Amino acid sequence: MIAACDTGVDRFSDAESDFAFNVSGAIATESDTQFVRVQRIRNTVEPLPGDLNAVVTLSETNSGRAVTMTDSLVSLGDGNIDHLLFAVFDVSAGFLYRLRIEGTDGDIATATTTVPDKPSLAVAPATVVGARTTQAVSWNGLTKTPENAVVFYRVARSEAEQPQIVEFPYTLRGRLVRDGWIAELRLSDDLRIVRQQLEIPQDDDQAVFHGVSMRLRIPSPEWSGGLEGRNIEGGVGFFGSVGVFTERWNIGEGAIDNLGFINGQQ
Amino acid sequence: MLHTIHRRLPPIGTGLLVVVFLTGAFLAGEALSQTATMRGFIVDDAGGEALQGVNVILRSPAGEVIGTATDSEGFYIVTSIAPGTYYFQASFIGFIAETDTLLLAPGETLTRSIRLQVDRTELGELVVEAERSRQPASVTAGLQSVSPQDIELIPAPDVSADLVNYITTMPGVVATGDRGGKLFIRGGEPTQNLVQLDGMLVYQPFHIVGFYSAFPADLVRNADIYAGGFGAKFGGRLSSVVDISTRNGNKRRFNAAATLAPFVSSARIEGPLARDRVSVILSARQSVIDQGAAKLIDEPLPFRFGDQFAKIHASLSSSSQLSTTVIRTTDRGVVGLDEGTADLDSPTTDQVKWENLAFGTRFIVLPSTLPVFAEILLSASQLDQSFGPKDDPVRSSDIFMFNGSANVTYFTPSVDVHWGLFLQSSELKSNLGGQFQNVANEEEYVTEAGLYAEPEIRVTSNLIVRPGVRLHSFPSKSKTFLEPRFRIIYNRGIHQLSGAFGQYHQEVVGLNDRRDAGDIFTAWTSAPLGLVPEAIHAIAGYKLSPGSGVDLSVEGFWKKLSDLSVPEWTGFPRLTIKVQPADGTAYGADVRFGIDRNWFFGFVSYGYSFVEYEARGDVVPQWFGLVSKYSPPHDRRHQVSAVASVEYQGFELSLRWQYGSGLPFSQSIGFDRFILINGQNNVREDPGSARVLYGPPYDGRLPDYHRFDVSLERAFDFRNASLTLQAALINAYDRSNLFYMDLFTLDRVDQLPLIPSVGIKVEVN
Repeated sequence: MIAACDTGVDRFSDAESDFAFNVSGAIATESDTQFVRVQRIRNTVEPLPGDLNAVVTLSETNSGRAVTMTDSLVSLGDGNIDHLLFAVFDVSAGFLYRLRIEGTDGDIATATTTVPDKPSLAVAPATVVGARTTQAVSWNGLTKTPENAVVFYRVARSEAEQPQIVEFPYTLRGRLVRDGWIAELRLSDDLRIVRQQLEIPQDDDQAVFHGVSMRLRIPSPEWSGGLEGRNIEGGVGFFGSVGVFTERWNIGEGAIDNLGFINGQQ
Repeated sequence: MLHTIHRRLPPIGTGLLVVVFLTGAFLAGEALSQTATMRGFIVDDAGGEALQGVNVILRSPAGEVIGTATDSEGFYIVTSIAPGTYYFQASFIGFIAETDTLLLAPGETLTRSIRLQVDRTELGELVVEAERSRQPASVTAGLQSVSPQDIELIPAPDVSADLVNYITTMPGVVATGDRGGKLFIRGGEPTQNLVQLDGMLVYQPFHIVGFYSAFPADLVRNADIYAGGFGAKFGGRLSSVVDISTRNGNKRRFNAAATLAPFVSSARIEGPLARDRVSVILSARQSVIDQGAAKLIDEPLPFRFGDQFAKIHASLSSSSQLSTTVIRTTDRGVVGLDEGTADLDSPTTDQVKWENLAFGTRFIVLPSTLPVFAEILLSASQLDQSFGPKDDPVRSSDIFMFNGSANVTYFTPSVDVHWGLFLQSSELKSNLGGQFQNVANEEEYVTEAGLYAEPEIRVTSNLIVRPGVRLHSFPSKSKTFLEPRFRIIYNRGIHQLSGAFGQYHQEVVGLNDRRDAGDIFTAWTSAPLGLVPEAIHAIAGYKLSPGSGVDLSVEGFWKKLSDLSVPEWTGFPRLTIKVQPADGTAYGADVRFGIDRNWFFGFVSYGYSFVEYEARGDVVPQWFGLVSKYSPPHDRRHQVSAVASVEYQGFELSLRWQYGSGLPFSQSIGFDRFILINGQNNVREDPGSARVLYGPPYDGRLPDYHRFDVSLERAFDFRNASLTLQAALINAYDRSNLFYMDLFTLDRVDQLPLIPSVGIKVEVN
């Protein structure tokens, strides 16, 4: 009956919980510095980061290369602060990386991610139909649409000037096929816009085409799997990786001529 | 051995059943042609209301006695009477017995309907009413019959007693609180209860404030509450049946009543449209809580509800009756943390709202030459429900159902064969605003059809068995089920043993976000995931009646639930729900003890119940290993109810104490900040958002619930009127019973605090 008189609520579970940390972050091939946020699961709503009291290690499992990430307190957009861990550490496509958080109290959380392999690029010759020039670009080996695809054109107003870069989003312009992901570059349309942006008259034949390239950002499989977006052993949150791959190629001289540019490709 | 047929039976199967029963009926009819039958309806002469439990006996010159008693319709029938002269008597305590001498010829079916007059010479009428009706501790194989006199004994916040207050005193009935209008009966969910009023379905009849339903005591003639194990006449629901019959209204003279109280005010009028033949009864109730009770306790109570009822009943002849009933209910309110600041009239206030409308016609006939009681029911039931701003809801769910059914009882000397047919067609429309991830917004049509047969066999004078079968077809799921039912009652002196068993299926189901007690919106839909939920019930009971007015009942139950649709548990709060399949088990036992004396009436009951669901999804195991079984939020393990009523010098003091052990809820394992990681690795700036992380599903328990209510009532009789005054204290010791708590902020919403209340009722005859 004493219990029956109690009106309070114990909001915390007595169940043994393996979840000591929240880990959030993704490593990427494009950067030599990797960042992750690590929080202690706390018993207060407000984020009072306190001491992390944990060692965070990022390692590449094949070679055993490892780095201890540096803890820092970073001021966030809403005025709160949190632990941001960083380390200078290159990551490479196709390699498996492990993040390990070991608290001084013995709590451990781990997560692994395999950086996506670099897909191989196949570029078809440019096709000229009337005034329209296109070129099919295939990234073979992809099974999912890349998270982001961007085409970069490098064009100079004249041979005397430095080339400038104009980028075009292509994520939604490609499609998955049996062998990978294919996008058709609309060279004539894109370069007409490039001329507008660089204020090059459409009939100016002194502009120089220095090259074209495409950058893909490919997320690791953890993004599409996992339970409720969680893939941390001994914790909650998300740890993944991104493969960022850029390839450049040359367009045939005849197509460049058709597009009204001087060929400056090397 | 249970039989489940997962295909439509070929026509020959259905036809065979019909042939079997028609053949049986024919053979029985042949036997009966050599004997006589007597039957009819017995009503109260003062107003024409059916009298249940009237003793009807026929005594031969040789002293041989045969007899029966009237049912809740006032109907009686005596079959297999050897031709000859009989002394006939229909007697009922408190009424002047009707006697006659009859000559019955071979093959004769004599229909004799009787009006009994109140005997004012010996016993007070009120005392008699109480003596013959109050059996609160009496339960037989899951069935408890409730009379208006039972209901009026329960303290309520106003002078208008309500059926729901009685139901919530029954062991095994769990209410989530004094708001929400949800009743869980022996492990079942609210939408698994079949609630019928005069044979027509009422989807959500329990008002948003838990003291009220659409069934005030002065409209109810009788309510049969099957906590499980119900017979073949009922189907399409998994858990329980609440079968309510309403009064027909006074056929002799007009009378009216009105009540005024801080919770609800009401008015009722009834009277003859054609003297002794046609009556009408009209009733309306409207809550005044947000104006009355809220001011008494100086707290907002943003709830409004009301109901309107109308019934016309005609005694077409001594062997046929026709009635038409209409009921409408309205509810709306704000439940949960926003109660304190809610303005129900504001166009921006999110509120839950539902409206029932049901219309039904019932025709009862006793064919002139057959020992048969037949009824034909036609009804339409509608429920409209929404959540969001009152004029622009974000979610809505509407259902309309037409029902046509026929129920026939064929009486033979040792077997009463109950059989019937039914056809139901429902239209369901929902706009769920994306709340349910894998339940589409759609318009659906669901048809259910079938038939049943359930002979009641009097094996010996002490033993009654009632095996039954219900063929229930769900064409939209291409499934037909042959559901076995069985009831047995064995009486020996002061002892009674009873049992029940049955299999049940339900296609039209209600989906709720049970993760949030404050979310009482229910989406009615065809059972998702292509499943038809199933339940199997088993009940065993013992009743001891050692003396007049003393009852002790013990009953155990077991329910197995399959293919339920439950919200998927998630590790952190989500605004949307994914429905997943689950199985469940519920079992328990209860003990009831009641005493009825002229001046004192009381009962105490204890119920133990265990409910467990096992979700078939993979979310819980992925978070917590092998944990996939959990206690759903209505798994109340222990319940105690104690009710007492004392009459002294014209005053009636009623007391009720209720105790319920804590309900399950999902505790927290802590808090974090959720950051949605994108491919740009935004962790350097994104603050994320604070969130709670849940532990294993429903592994915590809320505080125990208990409350003491008391009311004092005094009636004053005048020449053609009566005045009843009532004073009540609800939650008399001001217990802080938790209804809802936000794990984030620890803000809590408690159930109703101590509320003093006064009520007045005026009746004019």
